[in-house]
Amino acid sequence: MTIIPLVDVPSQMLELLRTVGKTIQSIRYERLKGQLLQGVNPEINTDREVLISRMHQLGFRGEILGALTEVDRKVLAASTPLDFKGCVGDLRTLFEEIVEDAAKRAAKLTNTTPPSGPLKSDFKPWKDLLVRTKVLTEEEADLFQKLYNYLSNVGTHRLGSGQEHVRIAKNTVIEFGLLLVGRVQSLV
Amino acid sequence: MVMPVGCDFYVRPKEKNFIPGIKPMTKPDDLRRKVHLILGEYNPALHKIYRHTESEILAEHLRIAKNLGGPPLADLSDTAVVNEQVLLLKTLRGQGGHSEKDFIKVLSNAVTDHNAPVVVHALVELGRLDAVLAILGREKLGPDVAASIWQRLGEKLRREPHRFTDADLEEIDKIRGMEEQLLRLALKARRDAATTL
Repeated sequence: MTIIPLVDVPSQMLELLRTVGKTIQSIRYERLKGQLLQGVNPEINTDREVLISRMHQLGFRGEILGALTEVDRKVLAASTPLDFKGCVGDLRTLFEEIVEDAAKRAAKLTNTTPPSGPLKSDFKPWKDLLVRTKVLTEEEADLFQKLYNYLSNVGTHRLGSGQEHVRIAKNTVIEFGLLLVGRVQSLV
Repeated sequence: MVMPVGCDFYVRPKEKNFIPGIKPMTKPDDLRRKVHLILGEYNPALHKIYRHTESEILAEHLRIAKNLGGPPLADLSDTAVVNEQVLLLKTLRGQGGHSEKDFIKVLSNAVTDHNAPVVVHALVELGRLDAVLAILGREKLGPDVAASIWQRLGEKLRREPHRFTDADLEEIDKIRGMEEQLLRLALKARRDAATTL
């Protein structure tokens, strides 16, 4: 470990800051190399940013936006089947919450009564509300339910998942979320 | 003879666990006391942050690159923080009885150049890089503390880059850039002043 003496001389502090800058540069380089060599789809990252910006505009809960960043952090650090399972589980929760907030917003914009009282499921009542508000078609709602079931099986009802499950889960949740949020935005 | 409790000038209060002269400890005080106790035990000469130092990692890389043979000098995949104080702070946070906000505030306020390694590693591990950056943004932060924090943030970035998202890197680099610019201006002003003299 390089020990840099703690000093109050600006030039030495400057050197320390430059070293941190070089480290950041090198992490970015390694990530870009990884993306280019492992065939990561850059479109997903762009869609993720669009999703965040649209959710922000529609006034979705800040926790959802924070959770999206937190999931990214967990995906980067995941290395065991249990870690990957945790990531898929988090993406499932994120999907649930996006659907709930989108349904609530759509209900408000179309003057539709949202489900009230204790709900039997965290997902189905909100997905059905999206159909009632014509944000989703019946076919799309089925697809959403199937994705939810898949995420539940892979991410919750098992002891471990694979890296490929995380990749599928992350990419589909972002794309489905983008479709949903885009439709709700068109109601405004 | 039974001694009466209390006398003309002193009447024992009825509070439970009352000790004369000592105020009953409130939750934030208790949290502060525990955090300071943990941080006070940290000794850089005795307590490692990682199992292997960066020199040991470098030596292992060189051993492999030069094909020197012999037993491995370090496990290159081992990036876990093993420091006892960092682990204790994380456990203390997990125990509850206080809000996250209170914990982060107490820990951030306790930072010194001496304990900065523990504070920075604990905050980043708790997912609170924002708190580390907030400390760096303090107006009255001493240069020694700032240097120590940057040094440890650099170490965390080198050893555990997976803990930082692209957005985190962006944020750190933004603040680093601003600090660098301020220092450049300070150096320029110093040079200008020296030339004028």
